Formats: sequence, structure tokens, C-alpha cells
Amino acid sequence: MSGDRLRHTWPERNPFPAQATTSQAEQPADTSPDESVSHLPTAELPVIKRLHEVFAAYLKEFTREGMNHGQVAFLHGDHGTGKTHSVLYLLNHVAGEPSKTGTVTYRFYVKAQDNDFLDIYRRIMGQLSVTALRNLSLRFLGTLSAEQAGRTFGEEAATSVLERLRENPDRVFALYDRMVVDPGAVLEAQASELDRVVGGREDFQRTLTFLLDPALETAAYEWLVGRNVATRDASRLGVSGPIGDPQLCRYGLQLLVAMCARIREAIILVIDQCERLIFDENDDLCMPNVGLLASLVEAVPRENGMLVLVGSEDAWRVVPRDFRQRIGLNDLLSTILTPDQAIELLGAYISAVTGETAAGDPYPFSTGAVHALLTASSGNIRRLLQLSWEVLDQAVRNLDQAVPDDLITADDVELTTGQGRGGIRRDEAERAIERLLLEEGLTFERPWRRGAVKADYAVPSGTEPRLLIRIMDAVFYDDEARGALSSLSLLQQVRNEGWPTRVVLVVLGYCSPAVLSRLKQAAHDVIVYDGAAATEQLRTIAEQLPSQTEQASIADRDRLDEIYQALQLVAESRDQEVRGLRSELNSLLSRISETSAPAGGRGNWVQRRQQLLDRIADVRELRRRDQLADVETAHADAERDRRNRYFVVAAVIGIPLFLVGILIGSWPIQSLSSVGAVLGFAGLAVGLVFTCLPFTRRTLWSRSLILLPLGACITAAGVGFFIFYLGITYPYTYTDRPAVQALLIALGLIIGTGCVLAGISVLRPQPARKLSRPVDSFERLTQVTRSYVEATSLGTYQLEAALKHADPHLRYAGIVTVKSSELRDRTRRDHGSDGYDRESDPPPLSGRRDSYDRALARQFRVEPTVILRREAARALGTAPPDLVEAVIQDGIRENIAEIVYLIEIAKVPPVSLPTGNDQSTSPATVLAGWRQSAEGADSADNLLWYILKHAINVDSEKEFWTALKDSYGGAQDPSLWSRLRRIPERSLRQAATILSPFEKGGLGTFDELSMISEIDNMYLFVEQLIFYRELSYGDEQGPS
Amino acid sequence: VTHEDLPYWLYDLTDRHPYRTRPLDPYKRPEDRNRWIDIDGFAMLGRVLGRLQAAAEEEEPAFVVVEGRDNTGRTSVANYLLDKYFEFRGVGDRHVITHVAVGDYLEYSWALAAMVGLQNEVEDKRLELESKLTDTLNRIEEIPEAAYKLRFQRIARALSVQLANLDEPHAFGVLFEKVFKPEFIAAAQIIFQKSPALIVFTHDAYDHALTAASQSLDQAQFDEDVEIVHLRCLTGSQVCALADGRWKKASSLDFPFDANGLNELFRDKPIKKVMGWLGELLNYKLKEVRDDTVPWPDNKGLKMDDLWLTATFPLIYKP
Repeated sequence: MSGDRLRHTWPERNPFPAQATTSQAEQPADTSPDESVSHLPTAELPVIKRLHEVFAAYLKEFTREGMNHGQVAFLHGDHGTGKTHSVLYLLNHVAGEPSKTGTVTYRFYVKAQDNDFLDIYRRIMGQLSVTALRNLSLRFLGTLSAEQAGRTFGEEAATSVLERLRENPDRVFALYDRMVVDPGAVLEAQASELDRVVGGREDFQRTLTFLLDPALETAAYEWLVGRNVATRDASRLGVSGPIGDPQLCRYGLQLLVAMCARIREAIILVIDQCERLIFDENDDLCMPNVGLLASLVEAVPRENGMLVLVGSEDAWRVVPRDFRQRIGLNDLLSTILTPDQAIELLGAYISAVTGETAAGDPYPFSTGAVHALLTASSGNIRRLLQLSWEVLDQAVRNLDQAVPDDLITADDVELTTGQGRGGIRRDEAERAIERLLLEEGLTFERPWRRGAVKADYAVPSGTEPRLLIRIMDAVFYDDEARGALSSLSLLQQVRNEGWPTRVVLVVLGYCSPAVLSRLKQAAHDVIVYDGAAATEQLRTIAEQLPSQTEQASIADRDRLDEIYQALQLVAESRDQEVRGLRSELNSLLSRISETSAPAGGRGNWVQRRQQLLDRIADVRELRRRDQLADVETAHADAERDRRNRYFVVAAVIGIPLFLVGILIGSWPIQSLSSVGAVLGFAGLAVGLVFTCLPFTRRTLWSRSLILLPLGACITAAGVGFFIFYLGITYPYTYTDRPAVQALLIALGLIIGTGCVLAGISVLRPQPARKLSRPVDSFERLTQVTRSYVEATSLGTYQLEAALKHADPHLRYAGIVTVKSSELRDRTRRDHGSDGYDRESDPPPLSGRRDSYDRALARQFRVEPTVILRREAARALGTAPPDLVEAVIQDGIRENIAEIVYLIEIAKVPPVSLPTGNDQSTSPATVLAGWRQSAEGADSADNLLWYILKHAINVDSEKEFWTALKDSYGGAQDPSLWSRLRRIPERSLRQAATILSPFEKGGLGTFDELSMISEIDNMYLFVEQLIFYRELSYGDEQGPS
Repeated sequence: VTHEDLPYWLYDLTDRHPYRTRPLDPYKRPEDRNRWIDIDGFAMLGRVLGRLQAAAEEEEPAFVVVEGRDNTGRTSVANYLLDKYFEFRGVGDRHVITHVAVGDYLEYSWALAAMVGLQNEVEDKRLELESKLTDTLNRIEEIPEAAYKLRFQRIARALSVQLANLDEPHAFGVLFEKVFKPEFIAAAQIIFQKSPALIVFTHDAYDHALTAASQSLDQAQFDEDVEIVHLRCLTGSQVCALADGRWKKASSLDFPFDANGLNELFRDKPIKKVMGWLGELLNYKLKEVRDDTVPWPDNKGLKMDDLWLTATFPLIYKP
């Protein structure tokens, strides 16, 4: 077996990371690359590649004029699949100088710790220093000032002012002094922008402005970053109090993004472990936070920023559908490794140390060992590398004993992973150190800093520390040397200060002999932390500390320099190894990427097309539901009004009649009962007033005021019964009035009962009762409406009345009634095939039909629900041509969107479009224009060509578009592709907007058009062209 | 006369050109009193001056808000009103004025600044106040913020009484630059309610978070005791009236600007900018005259016709 192997050299040190997890301190959002992550061996895994593409697209687009040029992405996957590593690597990759092409000035990374959104806000904003935030505010003001100057002096002057302000933002005050721009006007422009971004919260503009005032700078900064501000400071700033409301935090983040975008600086916000925000402590969905994240997902790209959410699979699965829809194509799945990928990955790490290149050979691991590692790690990259470190570490210890054929087998893996230490985690070491220091009764500070001297723990003694502990976490093996160099600078600084401080270096997991020996020469103590034994070492040091009067000396300056040189050499040599490793990993993972991603751009388009189709189906379903919900809400209101009306009639007529009957029976009124009589008649009067006055009736139907007449009548009834009781007591006094009394009481009972029964629909016919019930679909509504019309045989006048009815179900009956169709059919039969033979004698029914059509047209204009407007428009399709033309013109002029349904079906001469209409790209105008044009008579396919030519003024021939479509978006034909590239991308995007099924006013949002499938195809075609354009960037040959 | 001044002197402009952009302040520079030009339809101060005269005669406080956008001359108008008020009071130059640049939303801080400013002015003018009042003013910061308005009211009243009782009676006035919120004015009304003094505020007539909304000033936040002066940009005829008026007060020679040119260039512009541009045009012309062969002091050399103004203005009007 060893003869088949290509490798024969064991790595001289463990090439794997002991703690294969990427950690990142939240750092100031500065422009420089972060050294702590810049060295990470990172390869272009498929997910990194895709995220990189999103970053690139953002950096390409965010400076474009207007809004909505930002990006949002959701990176999700199981724990340990390298999400954090991917995003940190890319964040570092795009770090750079302000305004330098392809770089991001403002990068914010934050890891959620719990579901406290305020904490997230504070930690993001806290990454900006006072100076940085002031600078941002000042540059924002400068941009607005330059624009203000541009309005007076022209574009050229604005550019020149902007350049000067970029060099020195403080010059904006000189512009004010020289009266080039008015500060008040600039603040007014700022207020106008902030109104959109922060929802009109004036506190933000005040603090942004006071940030520029040295007297209030600190207070304004504290407020803006979400810290507590003293009441007096809040009063001075004119703010209501510190930011405590998560909604305000959202506005604050939106403001940050908007300011960056306005000064033409890219901004990327990364919220890692967002599942902690999405779920609460009981693992239930935390809807307030989901809502806030959804708002950010919408607002950040709108303001030309970029938001990256990093979270678990669970988090991605549970967020609402519309949330996922907003993420769109940028949902990025971080996946586990396959066996071949694992073999190549381990081989790459090992090669970096041994210098032997042999793809596909993971020596000293056997293939079985790799499979066992893969099983134990579940394909999780982090865990795989961590376990590999453990297994190799154990194998080195056992090298002299029992590794057969010098090869690590599956058994070795199982043995080690069975008793594995589970990796060395920094937080575990920190807990152990803290517990130990507390047990020893030592007060400590963490983290600790004096000037440039920083340590993780310090045990203070007066002004000087007695003990400093520095933790070195070697994430990847080249870290080890870097960490050592950094620790050396700590030792140097302690020596320079002349402190008698004991310095302990704690190395997490692993330290190679070369580095360890050097460190031991320099520091007092070096502990390789691998569990309890290391803790005991530290305990010994701590126990000695209180009695220690004389410190072991740190190596002298020359010695430190010497050690520094030696470690520098180690670091450099490892840098070379890392470069080799990166190169090999990149090559390996590119291959992985190629095999796991669909081939070429076309494959991606297929995927994207499917996503778009799914999204279209989703959005249509939602729209249908919303539209039906509108109808049903209006119907429920109307039904409630109807019932209330009956009940009130019962109350104000039935009950008083009943009472009057009783009163008559009780005559003569005795002094005691006169009050009851007055109240009874007063109740009657109130009831009548409420019934008769339209205003009070309207109020009454829907409000609890109905209790007023009812209460009055009930009071009267009570008094009346009392009188009746008196009448029973002395029956002999009322002998001449029983007939009138009985008649009135009976009438009151009949009217009251009848109204109540009518109110609850008992007296209505079955179809009407069905029509009064709520429906769950449009189809069901159509069915019950038709049943109702069939059963009730409504005449034309009733139909016209139905059109004006408060209940949308009845209005719908008036619109789609079978009767009206029959009406037309009869007219057609009698007066020619088209039914509109005006030259002949007027048909007997034409007057009535015209009246109905006019009522329908009127209803179309005033109808509040979308569904009924649409159906009215369709029903008008068979109305007289002059009426149709008038309705179309009115509809376009009054911007009634559903007019498109009538335009689509109307058989009318060319409509003269309203003059002065500036909505040349509105769906109605486009559709009407197309139908009038020669192309309109052709086929629906020509609609796209019409839109490009007439609505967007793209000069191209119909044949070109036909050929382009036949050539699968031109992807296969270089000549077509080069012609396509001459069409501005903006025009294609405009065409997509006109055809869009998502954006308000897009033709595709009129879901019930008979040509909707053709419109969808055109939309997808344009999206495909845009997709290829994005894919190929500067490629003249077209997408591969 | 310096070499630089010489051209101005030759054109009878002994104090250089008359188009200065700094606010008129008769309190600091008595000669500014002569520079005020009544421009028809600009500030429309008739009603306000009537109110000030009545307040002065009845020894009551008066409150005025001068409202306008940037560079519309708010501070000059405020200073003019203060000057007229003291004239109505019959104290002439025997007055004490403090300007307070309101810099935040805390009413207490600017009210305190006003009281301290008045005390400083009193001391600068070496006016003798009773020792008790002086002690109170010296310890004014110790007054608790919760009750400052009524305590300040007593101090302001005592100050006004003692200033009036001096051998040479004095009066005082306060100018608050900027009103962040209407409550500022309400607080000032309480503090100076019992002091015969003029309190003037300037207000940024903009719609943003750093100024009180104009509507809120107009509404019933404070009653009719407060007069509001609205300042607007100048019309074409107002520009000509201003330029001509200032010129005539400075020089006996003919007005050099062409009225049509001024109307064309500067109508609907704020007064301070107009003044600045007029000054720059005149400087430019004087320089041109000096460099050219036109013999001075012939005033024809200064003449700026329509064509010249239109062609030259873009040269000096740059960001």
C-alpha cells in the first residue's frame, strides 16, 4: 500500500488549525484590511464565489443615480459550514481606501448574541468613532451643499465644490460664510431626505447637526450610537430621550446607510448569527425582530447599501415568504463537503507543510480515515479540520507505538474522535482562567489596556499590573508565528514601561516546538492550553503571585530583538507555505465550484428563471387574496349596516307601537306614570330622528350609537310595563280600549319581529342568503352571484340599482349579471350582429341598455374595489363604441389602472389618447398605443418591440428582436450580442419595469389579462437579457 | 488716505464703498444709523414701530420675532428695532443690549446667557447697581433650573427698575439669534413679563428640525403680545431703491448702476447677497477704471450699464 502512495513524508508539524473557527472582534469601521482575517487561507468555495459576485454587483451599481441600487443577501447553512469565515474573508477582500473603485469604506460586522435589536444597533454604530461619525455627517452636509450650489451655478461648479469638500469636508462652513449656499436651505434639503429615511423623526437631524458643534459633539455622538445620554444633554439636543425603541434603531441604521450612499461610499452591514435575533429564548419566532430585519432588507438596498444576513438553516426556513422574496436570488446556501472534496482539502493543507504536491492523496491519512473523519464531522468543514488536527496530534504522540505502515486509518480516527477533546475553544479557556483567578481571590480586569499595552487579563496592583495574561488563538497554523510576534510586542512594551509584571502567554491548542521554544525564552510563562492540566499550571503561577516580590525578568532588549528576528523568519516561511496552500485550495475549490454549480450562465439563468416564475406565482396568489379580501371587507361592512338598519327600524317603530298600545290601555295617565309616558314618547322621537336623518343614520349603522335609541326605547318599555301593571291592578277602568290596545301591541310585535328576522336574513330567499355570506374565492363569488341573478330575475332598473348598492356582492351581480348579457344578446339578434346598428331604427331595448351601460361606466369610475373595477371594465367591452372610447379616455386621464382590461378587449376605432398626458409608460397608455399601432394588429409578441421603440425610444428593428429571441437571448450569436450591447442597460430595465409583474403599474400586475402569459414571457425575456448583460460585464462575445 | 483707499476717495467714497454685508448695528457703530434705508414694501415695520412706541410709552415689555430665510437682513432689522425702541423710550444711547446666539434646545442655558450678558454690559458701561442685585447676578448660576423663570423674572425686573432710576436713566434690550422652538418665546415672555424692555428674536423661516416651524410661531403658542416681522427677498425695484439709497448716503456723485441691469440680475435675491454683489461689482469697476485709461475722477468711468452688468456678473459670481 505504501508503494501506491505518492507521499512519504509526515508533516513536521500539525498543518491543521486546532481551533478551526473564525472569530472576529467588532472593530472600528475603518478602511484598512483587517490583519486578523487577512491571512486566512480561503478558497473560492461555491458560496464564497456567489457572495463575491453579489459584492461585485453591489460595488458596480451603488454609485448609479437614483435609488434601489443596493444589494441584500442571506447566507445560510448548517453550523460549521464556513459562513462566518466566508463573509469575513470577503469583507476584508473589499476593504480599501475611500472612493477607490471596488472597495468598501464602511464595513460593519456584528454577531448577534441574543434577540436584543438595540444591542445590535449599539454595536454597529459603536464601530464608528466620534470623528468618523462627525466626518460622515459633515460629508453628507457637504454633498447636499454641493448639490445646492449646482442648482445655482451649474453641474460643473457642483462637481468642483464636491471635490474640494472631499479633500476637506470642513470647507462647507466657508461656503456658508461666502453665501455660496444658504445653510438653512441645505438643512431643509437634508430634512426632506431624512423624512424618507427616518420616518420624519426630527431627533436624527438635530443630533447630526449638533455633532458638528464642539460643545454638543459628544452628547450627539452618544445619542446617535444608542448610548444613554443625561437628561440635560437630551434637553440641549432637543431629543426626547436615548434611543431605546428598536424602530428607532432601524431608522438609525437606515440613516447610516443613506448617508454613506449619498457621499458615494459603499457600505456593507453584516449581521452574523441572525437566528439569535429571529428566535426568542423559547425558540419561538420573534416577530418584532423579523419585522425589523424585513424592513432593513427592504430599506438598505433601496438606500444603495448592502446588507448581509448570516444565519442558520432554521432561521432561513422560518422567515416569512415575503421576507425570502425580498432576498430574491441572493439566498446563498453554505453546504458540507463531499468525500472527494474532503480528500483534496486535507491534501492541500498537508502539502503546504510537506512541500509535496500530490492531488488526491491525503497521506498520512488513508482514504478510509478521511471517510471516517467526514462521517465524524458530518461534512462540516470546520469540524473536519478540527478533527484532523486532533487525529494527527494523537498520531504523532503514538508514532513510536502503533501506527501501522505509518498510515492513519479509520480505526485511529474512530479511536481519537471517540475520546476527542472536542477542540479548544477560546471561551472555554477564558472561563477556566476567570474561574481560577476568582478561586485564588485575585481581582482582575478584562480586557485590559494602558496606552498601547493590551492584554486579555490583568491583575492590578496600584497603578501597575502584577500579572498580565495574553491568549493566543492560533486559528490557522501560520497564525501561530504571527501571534507569537504580537505577544513579543507586549513583552517589549512591559519592559519599556519598567513594570515588575509577570507576563503569561496562553496558547490555545497547539504550539509548534520552534515557536514554543522562542516564546519561552522571552516570556515568564508560556502555557499551551489543552484542558485541565494547563489550568493547574496557571494555578501554580497565580498562587505564587501574592507572595512574589521579585519578578522573573523579561529577556533584555537585545535578546527580545533576537527572538523577534527568529520568529519573523518563521512567520515569513509560513507565509510562503500559506500562499502555496491558498493557491492549491483555490484550484481545488474552483474545481468543486465547477462541479457543484450549473454549467455556465445559461444554467444559472434556468435557475433564475424558475425563481422568477415561482415568485410571479406567489405574488399573483397574494394579489388575488388581497383583492378578494378588499371585496369581502366591504361586503362585511355592508352586511353589518343592513342588519343594523333592520334592528333600528324594529327598535324605533315596533317597540314604540307596542308601548303606545300599552299606554292607551293604561289611560288615564296617573301622576306617577306621566314620567313613563314622557320617556316613552321621547324614545320614539329620538328613534324617529335617528331613522330619518341620513347623517345620524349613517353614524348609527356602524357605531355603538345604536344603543342610544335602543336604550331610550327599553327605558320607555320598562316604564310602560309598570303602567300596564297598574292597569291590571284596576282593570275595571279600561274597559273601552282593549281593541285599539291589542291592535297597536300586535302591530308593534309584528313590525319588530319582522325587522329582526329580516335583519338576520331569515326572510330572505335562499340565493340572496347565499349571496350575503362571505366567499373564499373569486370563483365562488361568481357562482353565487349567478345563482342569485338567475333566481331573482332582475330587470334593467333593478340592475342599475344593484350597481349602486353598498354591498359589493350585489354590485357584482349588477356587473356580471346574466340578464345584461341576455339584454345584449336580444339586442344583437334584433339589430345586427354587432348589436350597435345605430343607423336603423332604435331597438326597443336600446334605450334601456344604453342607460345600463352608462350606469356601468359610471360605476367603473367610482368603484372602490379592484375586482369589481376590473369586471366592470370587461363588461363595458360590449358597450357602444363611443361610450367605450369615452371611458378609455377618462380612465387613462384619471389614471384608473383597470382600464387596461377594457383596452385589451375593446373593439373600437383607434382611441385618441388624451393630450398632455405625461404618463407615456403607464400600462394603459402603452397598451392603448400598441393596440392602435400597426404592430398591435399583429401578435402579442410585438408588444415588447413596441414598448422599446415607442415608450423607451430604443431604435431597433422588429426583426432584430425576433432573431434575438430565437437565439436564446442572443447568447449564441456574437453578432446579435454585440448589437444588443449597444442598447443601454437602463432601457432594458425600463422595459422590465413596464412589463413587471411585481412593480406597481407593471403590465404583468394585471393578472387577469387574456394575454398575461405572453406578457410574462416578454418580461422573462427582458430579465434574461439583463441577466446576460450582468453576467458578461465587458465581454464582447456574449455570455459563455 | 492709503493707496488702496485713493480710488474710493476720488469718487467721493470716503468710507470705501457703501455696500457692506455686515449687519447694521447702531449700538456698536452709531454711523450705521445713517445707513438704514427705508425700502418700500420690504420690512413693513410701520405696525411694529407703532407697537414699540406704545410699549415704550406705557413702560411695558415688547416682544418681536424677525423671521426670514438666510441673508434676508434679520439681524440688521432686529438691531434697527432695538435702536428705535430706545429712541421711543427717550434714553437714546443710554441703553444696555446683549446678543445671545442660541445654540441648543435648553431654554435655561440661553436665558442664563442673556442675564449674564446684560450684567457684563452693565459692568462694561460702569453703571452702578445696588449691591444686592449685583450679588444676585453674580450667583445667578446657583438658581435651580426648575424655578429659573420666575426667579429670572424678578432679577430682570429689578435690573430694569434700577437702570431706570440711575441719574441718567437707562433701558435694556435682548436679541436672541434663532428660535429653535416656540417654547423659547413663551419662556422669554415669562422672564421679561415685568420688565420694560425690548426682546427680539430672529427666526430661520425654513422647514427642518433645527428651527421652529413658522406655523407654530403664527399659532397660539403665544398671544398677540408678540409681533412678527416677515422678511423676504428683494423685488427688482427694491434692489434699485436699496442700491441708490446707499449710494446717495455715501457719495454726492451720480448713481453708477443701471436700474434695468440690477433688476435683471438681483430681483428675488436676499438683501445681504445683493449688498455683497453690489460691493464686488463696484470694486471690480474701480479696479477696471484704475487699470484703464479712463481719467478719474470723471464719474462716467464708473458707469455700469445693463450690458456691462450682465457680462461682468458671472465673472465675480462663482462658488
